[in-house]
Amino acid sequence: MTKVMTLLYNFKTGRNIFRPVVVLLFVASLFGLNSCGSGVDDDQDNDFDRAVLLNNWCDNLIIPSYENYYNETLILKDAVELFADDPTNIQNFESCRVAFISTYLSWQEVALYDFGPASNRALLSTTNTYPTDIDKINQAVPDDNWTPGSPATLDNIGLPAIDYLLNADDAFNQLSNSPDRLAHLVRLIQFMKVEAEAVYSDWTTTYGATFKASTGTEMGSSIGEVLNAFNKVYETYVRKQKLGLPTGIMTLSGTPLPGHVEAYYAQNLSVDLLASAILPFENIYLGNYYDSSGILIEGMGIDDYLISFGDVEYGSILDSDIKAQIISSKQAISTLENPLSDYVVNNTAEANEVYQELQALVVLWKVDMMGALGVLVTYIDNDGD
Amino acid sequence: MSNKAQILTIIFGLSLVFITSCNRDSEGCTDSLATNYDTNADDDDGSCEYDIITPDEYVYEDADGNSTVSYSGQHIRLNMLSEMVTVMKTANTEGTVVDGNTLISMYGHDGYTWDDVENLDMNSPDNTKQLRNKTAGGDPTIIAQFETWMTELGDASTLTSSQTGSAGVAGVVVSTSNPSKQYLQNAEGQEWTQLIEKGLMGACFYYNISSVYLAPAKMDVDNSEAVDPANGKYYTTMEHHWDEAYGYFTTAPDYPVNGTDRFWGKYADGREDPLGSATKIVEAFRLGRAAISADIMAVRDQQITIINQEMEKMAGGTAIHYLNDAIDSFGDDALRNHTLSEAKAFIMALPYGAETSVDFNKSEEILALLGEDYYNVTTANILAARDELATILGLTQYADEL
Repeated sequence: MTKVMTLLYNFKTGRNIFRPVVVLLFVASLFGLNSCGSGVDDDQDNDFDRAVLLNNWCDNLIIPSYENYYNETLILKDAVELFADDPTNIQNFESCRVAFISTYLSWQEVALYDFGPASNRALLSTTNTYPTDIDKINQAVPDDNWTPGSPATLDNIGLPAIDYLLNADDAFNQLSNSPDRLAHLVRLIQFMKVEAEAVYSDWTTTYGATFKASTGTEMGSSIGEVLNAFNKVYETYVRKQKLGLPTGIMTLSGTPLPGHVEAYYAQNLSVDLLASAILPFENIYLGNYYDSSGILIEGMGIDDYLISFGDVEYGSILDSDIKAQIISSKQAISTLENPLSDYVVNNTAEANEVYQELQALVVLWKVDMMGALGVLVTYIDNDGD
Repeated sequence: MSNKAQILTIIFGLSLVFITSCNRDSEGCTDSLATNYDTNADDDDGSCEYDIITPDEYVYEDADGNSTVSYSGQHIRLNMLSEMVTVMKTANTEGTVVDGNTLISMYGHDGYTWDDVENLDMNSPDNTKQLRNKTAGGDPTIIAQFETWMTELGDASTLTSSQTGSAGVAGVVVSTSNPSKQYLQNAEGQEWTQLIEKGLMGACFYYNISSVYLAPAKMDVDNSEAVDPANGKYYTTMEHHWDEAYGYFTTAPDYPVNGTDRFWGKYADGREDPLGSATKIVEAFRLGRAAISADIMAVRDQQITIINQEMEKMAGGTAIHYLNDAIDSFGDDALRNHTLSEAKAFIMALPYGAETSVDFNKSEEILALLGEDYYNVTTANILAARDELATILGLTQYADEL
């Protein structure tokens, strides 16, 4: 700006011969300012009201999803405790399995909010680190002093560990006949419930208000937090973990790793988890949610933000591309079949094609969308040492 | 139209307002060096103003145009630590053995031949500079701690071809989220390279800045004549001590344009957002040095206070930054252990400040919240340490953001 001011000054006092040059430079600099990205600078942003966006995300998507997830952990905990009281009752055992599926599906709805309260408790790692280490689980079973939460326990707690205890071969008899094993299952779900409750409570008591109040786009702003977590979780925990690693496309040899699928022991769940994992990304993007009577409400989302930039490449055109790719990705996922651990071995090429559809969203979201919104990608934090 | 110098007017504190006082002293500025010196005042009210020319870079000359700045000894020591870090980091590759005795010979500048990439004559017999005898004033316990770590690093490096680091096992640990990152860590996940590098930034560099060169023993010295103009020493003793403090912070005269690549210059730059560390510290160094040349000690002393306060916030803020990183990569053994090791070393550095609010006991207390075993730490432990540190340093509002 200083330079522009100086040029203007010269323009006023200078001789005619300088005029064209000065005007050209001045126009060029204005043009430069305009074209350097909508939303990059708070002050020159358009009228888009980010506070509305944050309120919609917080009140209609994030907090209800945490409430639902917390309630599901509560139901699973009650079911497991009921089973523990009457360990030979196979009905109780089956109730645990049903509740386990609902809990795992509801987890997919909150996994992407890995910032603030969830990040402070490493909820992603404590809830869903897989493959789970069954040797460590079996070692922990008889250990009265075992406590969950430290890094050494991450690969033997959470939903994957519960999956193993409830769904491995002969699970019912093993649990029925071993009070220690059943007690360990209780410990696992109790820990998950405590963590879910703490994060949900943080959101409703203090963090929600903080979140809504931070309306900028700078590092650490709510939009920055949401979108960095959004991209990180999509890239790493959806695209890579749920499909890329199992198909083998992420490894040098290309060998499928069937043991790396999510909910490996349940057999019938992996594809459903992947399908449900895409939905909250779509919802955050579109801002859509279902109200209490089950009616779809089209709230404010990133799509509205992009559209507000106009009918340009990094505006509504990008929005159309993203929406089309979300549809393609969902369709591709629907072609996968359970058990995914078999499918990635027998239909590796098809599975890799689905992966490519998921990968296309990484480019659109992480590169194009973040660039268009002027939000810095900060989750690859390399300070070089 | 702008030149290399600008005039800064320093206004000393805002006056203590008129406390209803019984005596009838006339209040005003009582310093005859001030531009608003009030000959009638006999009670200084803190309103003194001074005109001091502060350069945009750390460049100072005497009346004849001779440079009065010299921190060549600090430059050599920073380069020594850089070379040590380079050698230590080779041990992050499996099967690469680092000799602990080599590290110790580097540390004490005792029989080691330096690469000396900047040609500072580091291998000359005249170069008697070393890091070891400048560590915590030569405290043998502290020095022994560093040498123990060097020996342990060397010993562990001999095992890395056959064993991988994990809980209870020393070795190279590879990041699961970014396999290009891997570090040699002990059985509890602590990383010697970080403890040594950042540890010496504290016990050697920070200690010498704050508790040696900017402390009264090195500041209450002659400021009236050049030390030895015939041999190119155009600086006064006081000016030289100030320069030595600066040289331990950064060796770049144009910092933060340059000098943000290593040690305190790097981490101050890293904390520029949100603490403004680099700007505040370097401006205090430049203004304080100009005040010494203008022989205005009140301004110098104010800059010493700023440097001490901002260095502490920056070091503590860096520890908080790494504790946050550790939570972010909690499930990744290599990265979590790496960042916790960095945080530990910065927390250990805090007591070396002259006006610290984190003494050695407090530093130990905070580290105890983390525990020694980084494979057994919880997010609650890390947050407890972080929040305790933030509270003590008045950084609570930045705790999440750092």
